Amino acid sequence: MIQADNLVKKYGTEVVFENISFEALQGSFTIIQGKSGSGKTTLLNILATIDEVDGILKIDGVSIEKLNEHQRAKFRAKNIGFIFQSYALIPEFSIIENCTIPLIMDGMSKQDAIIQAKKVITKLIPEADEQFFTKNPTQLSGGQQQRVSIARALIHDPKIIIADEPTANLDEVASKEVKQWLKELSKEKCIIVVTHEKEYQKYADFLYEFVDDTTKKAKSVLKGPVCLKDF
Amino acid sequence: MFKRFLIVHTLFKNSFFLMFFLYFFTLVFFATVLLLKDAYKTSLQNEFATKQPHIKIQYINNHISLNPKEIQKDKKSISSISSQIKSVASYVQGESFVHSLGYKISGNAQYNGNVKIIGLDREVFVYDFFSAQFMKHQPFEVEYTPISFVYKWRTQENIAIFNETLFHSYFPIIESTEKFEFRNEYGTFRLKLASVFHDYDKSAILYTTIPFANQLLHNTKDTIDGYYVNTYHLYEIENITRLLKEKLPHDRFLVSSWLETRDKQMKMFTLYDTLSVIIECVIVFLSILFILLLLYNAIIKKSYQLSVLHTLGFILKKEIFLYCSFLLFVTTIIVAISIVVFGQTIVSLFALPFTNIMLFESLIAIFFLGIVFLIVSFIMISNAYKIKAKSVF
Repeated sequence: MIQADNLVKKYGTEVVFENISFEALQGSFTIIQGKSGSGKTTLLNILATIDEVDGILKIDGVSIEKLNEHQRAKFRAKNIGFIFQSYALIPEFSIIENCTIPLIMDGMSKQDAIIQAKKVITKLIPEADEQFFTKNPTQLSGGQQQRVSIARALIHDPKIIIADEPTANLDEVASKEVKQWLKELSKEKCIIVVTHEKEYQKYADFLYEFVDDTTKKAKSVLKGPVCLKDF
Repeated sequence: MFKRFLIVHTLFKNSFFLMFFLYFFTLVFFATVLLLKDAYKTSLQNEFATKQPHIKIQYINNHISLNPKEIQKDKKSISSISSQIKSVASYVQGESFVHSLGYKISGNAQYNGNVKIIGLDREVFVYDFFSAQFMKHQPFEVEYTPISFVYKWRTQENIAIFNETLFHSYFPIIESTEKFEFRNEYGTFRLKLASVFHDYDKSAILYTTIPFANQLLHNTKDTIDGYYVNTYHLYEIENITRLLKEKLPHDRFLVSSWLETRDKQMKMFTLYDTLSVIIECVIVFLSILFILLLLYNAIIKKSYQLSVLHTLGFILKKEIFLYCSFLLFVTTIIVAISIVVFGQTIVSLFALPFTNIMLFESLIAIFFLGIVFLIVSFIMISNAYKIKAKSVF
């Protein structure tokens, strides 16, 4: 599903990492771990097609390094769902509007988008009613916001889900629930999660880890994949 | 596309509406100032310049008696020298001593002294003192003040003007209400000036017809001293004077221009023009800068939302710019319509002349400003987007 080779990232003269490879399959749950500043988020931005690629990156057979900014944006809007640590819901829009953005932008009619969004939200938040849908994101608890954020990530049925510390701001119960969902989703989709939490190793299939580069050529190197489950 | 606009509208409606509200007032201010400046400039030109002989062509032998055919031939040959020549009028000029008849009006001092008499063959702005109507209404009296002067000049075309200032300055220094009388006493025309004219030279000039001036000055009817030439545009004077000097026979005519003797006034006029443009540009530049900062700020304020959408794969830079362009277009059209509808009223409130060319120039300026605003706003939106709309990871 995702195949990356010889990826290089530099900020000026500072080399964050160079010549790293990464692979994630469809129907798998991959986690990326490492200490702060090791390059996890940088890699995530590349895998999510947000940053330009220096190296080879193929997602679902498409060479991402050959695409320009707008083509990459179009690609990720269609193929990737995002879950953020800070939920990233837009405060000017209601819950339902936040969730329908990917569908409406894809050209679906507002009515159809609302019907589909309601279905997905109700699946994740069974207690959600009409009043809930029209609420502003700031009126919800952290757990509820993250569930809405997951609903938005799933609404257009993407092949890949990329998440950055999705449970960092949640309590233990909500955190477990989200991890379980991600595990469930990984049966069909390619799930990539950047996280500090060791707990994820219980749920994930593969682990990549950023460690310090002992050769001092770059800041860190990516080790992996480590298989976390018996197939 | 429309749905993307809807998202941009939801995100930016408040800040953009405030911004374009300010832009509306800036444009209205800009257009109004431009109209008034043009109107004032036109009024200066109309009242103090275009009525003046821009170029004087004097016969080397004064008081020449010519038949009308010869005068027409000379006029034609002068007119043919440049297409920028607006009119050619023959004139006769001289001075006449005037006695005060003892009238004392409004406590002003009475006048005894020389009055410059100028006879012109122009029909407008020259009073024919042979007119029977005038004789019936004697004593004839005209009252004017510096403010109403211009107004009366325009509405009452047949008044005689005593004002040396008109010849010497764009900015007359007349302070008090002036009165004069001119009447026929026992078959003799007597000019009675009731007060001193507080103008630039403190002297008086009487415009009248050539036959009447000739009668007052030379007791004849058919002599002329030369021609007054007026140009379409003030700035053409120098050029046309040079052409006339080159092409007219030197042994017959002496050519001098209004500019040669009033260079200082012309410089003042040019300075006024330049300064007003500079001040206007500075004010508008600062206003536009302020509005563009609001635009930049609006995008910076929504940088988080734009970043979220950018990460999700929705780059709205083009839509923001088009939304901004749409509001800009609507604002400009509203201002343009307002100026077309109310422009004349605004200008007339200040008793200034209004022409469609002024209006056209204001509209061109508004649209030009809109284009500049559009280009700068595009650069600002691009930069703000580039700097602020990033991954939210």
